[in-house]
Amino acid sequence: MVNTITKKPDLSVNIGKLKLKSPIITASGTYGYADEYEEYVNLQDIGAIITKGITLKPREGNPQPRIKEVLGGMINCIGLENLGIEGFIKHKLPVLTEKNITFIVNIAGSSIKEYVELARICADNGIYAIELNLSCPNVKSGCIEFGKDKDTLYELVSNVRENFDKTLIVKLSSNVSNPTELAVNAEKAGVDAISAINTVKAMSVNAKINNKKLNFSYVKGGMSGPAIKPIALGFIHEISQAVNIPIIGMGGISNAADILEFIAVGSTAVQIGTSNFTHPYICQQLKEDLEEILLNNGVDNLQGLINGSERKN
Amino acid sequence: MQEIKEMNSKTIGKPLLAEVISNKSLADDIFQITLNCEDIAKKALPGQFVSILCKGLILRRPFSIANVDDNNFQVIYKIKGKGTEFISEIKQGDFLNIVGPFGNGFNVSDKNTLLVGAGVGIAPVMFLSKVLEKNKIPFTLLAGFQKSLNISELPDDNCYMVTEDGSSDLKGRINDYLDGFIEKYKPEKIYACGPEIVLKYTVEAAKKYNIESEVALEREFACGIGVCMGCSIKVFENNKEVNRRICKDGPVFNGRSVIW
Repeated sequence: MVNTITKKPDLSVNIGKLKLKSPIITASGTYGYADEYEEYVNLQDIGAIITKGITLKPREGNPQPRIKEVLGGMINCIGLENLGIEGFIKHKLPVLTEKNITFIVNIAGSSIKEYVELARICADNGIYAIELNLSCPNVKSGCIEFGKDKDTLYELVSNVRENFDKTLIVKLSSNVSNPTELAVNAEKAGVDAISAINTVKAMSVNAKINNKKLNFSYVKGGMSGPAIKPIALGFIHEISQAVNIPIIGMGGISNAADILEFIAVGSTAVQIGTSNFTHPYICQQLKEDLEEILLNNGVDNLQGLINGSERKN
Repeated sequence: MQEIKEMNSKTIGKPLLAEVISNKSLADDIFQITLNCEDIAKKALPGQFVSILCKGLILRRPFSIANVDDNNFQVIYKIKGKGTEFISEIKQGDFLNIVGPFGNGFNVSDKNTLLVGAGVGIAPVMFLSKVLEKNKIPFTLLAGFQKSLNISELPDDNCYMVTEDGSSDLKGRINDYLDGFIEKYKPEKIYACGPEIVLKYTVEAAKKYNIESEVALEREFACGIGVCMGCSIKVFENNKEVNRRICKDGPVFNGRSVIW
């Protein structure tokens, strides 16, 4: 008898102290607190779920409109509406733990002190991985403010690192003039991995002539979706030449071929964002598609492919 | 066909595919599409919506469910942009990639009811009228359009059409008729869907006559399942102003709770 059972390729990767079953991670702000997707995916099959950005106090977010579709993507200006760290620990953390979901908590502050306090609260509550949001373009103070200047970034990350000894990831924006300096300083300050890119600053305008005058309405915010993929690939390729820590790549990934592109330019894992909105089942499908591609190409483990990719190390 | 059935039996990792039974114009730019999808038809409640994937677009387009018949369901839509243009060109026998039903529907009560539907907002109240009819709950339906539409699924009795061009029995706008209808039919509950201005007037009229009301709202969102926070609005709950998501906590809200 011919043995037709083929062993599934091993998709596991390591990000800091975190062992992930798969490189597919859901991007912050696109997966809620995970249980919303229970109907569409096996949550335990996903590498990790990154929570909506969480702040010290609950936030109501920005006024409407908050979403606008543009060619090849969308713009959002949600403004970090979230239930605050206390609310998260009380209402969402038990669900994630009970369902045995691997998760990373995305935190956002308006001062270095706030980031440190958030990290400390996470450490006290047994949270084993955090992603520092230093890149949200939609809040008046904080986030991107700390992710633009290399010295500020170094100070912030070092302070957090002193208070959080588990897996620490920093999420960077492409809206900077010095990507490699920022990445290098993040590494020096002791992060375990860099995730990039956050949404790209953008604006959608609707202009009309009324009584010979030009009037317009607009949505200003961060752009995501397939149209930003080339920006993301370029950014990741650039920083991957300068640091040795793992990079979690994201920006417009919508199929398994995209995942290979991100790995090729230096990513160890990837995040899926906007695609989750369109295809709530996509993370499940991507995992299966990725397994199939590896299988068809005789690759039995993803880590091997990553090791052979274009990285300095 | 077998493959499609298998796909529809399990949503994990797969979309639902619905076969187009018919897709016809009701008036210039208003269409009614009938789709076959057992999974959605069996679960759907009046006030809930489905999200349709439109070729070439990033985000799905949400539509209220207008009616359910066995394994089929209907959607009424107006061509507003690229998404609805795409759907209007879909032919019988084609398949659409759909997720849903999403959201919380109307709370059906056994009270004498007034249904208010304006424009494509007729969809969820028409579906509700079917449920009321089935349960022998008395109702009156007030439907408003720019010009008269021939929707065969609208109830034969107790249904009144108001049109701006006067091509139906009643000429004008829904707002002009609300007080008169309430005084004549003495509803104890009002359900409404349509442009925000119609909903505002309806809630005001309901308050004036001290009648409970429920309204189905709409805002742009990306996901439909409560994660993107795009459709967050402010409502009053227990005398407190709180954020609620139209897609997940709504789209139906107590009329009095909505902060316009």
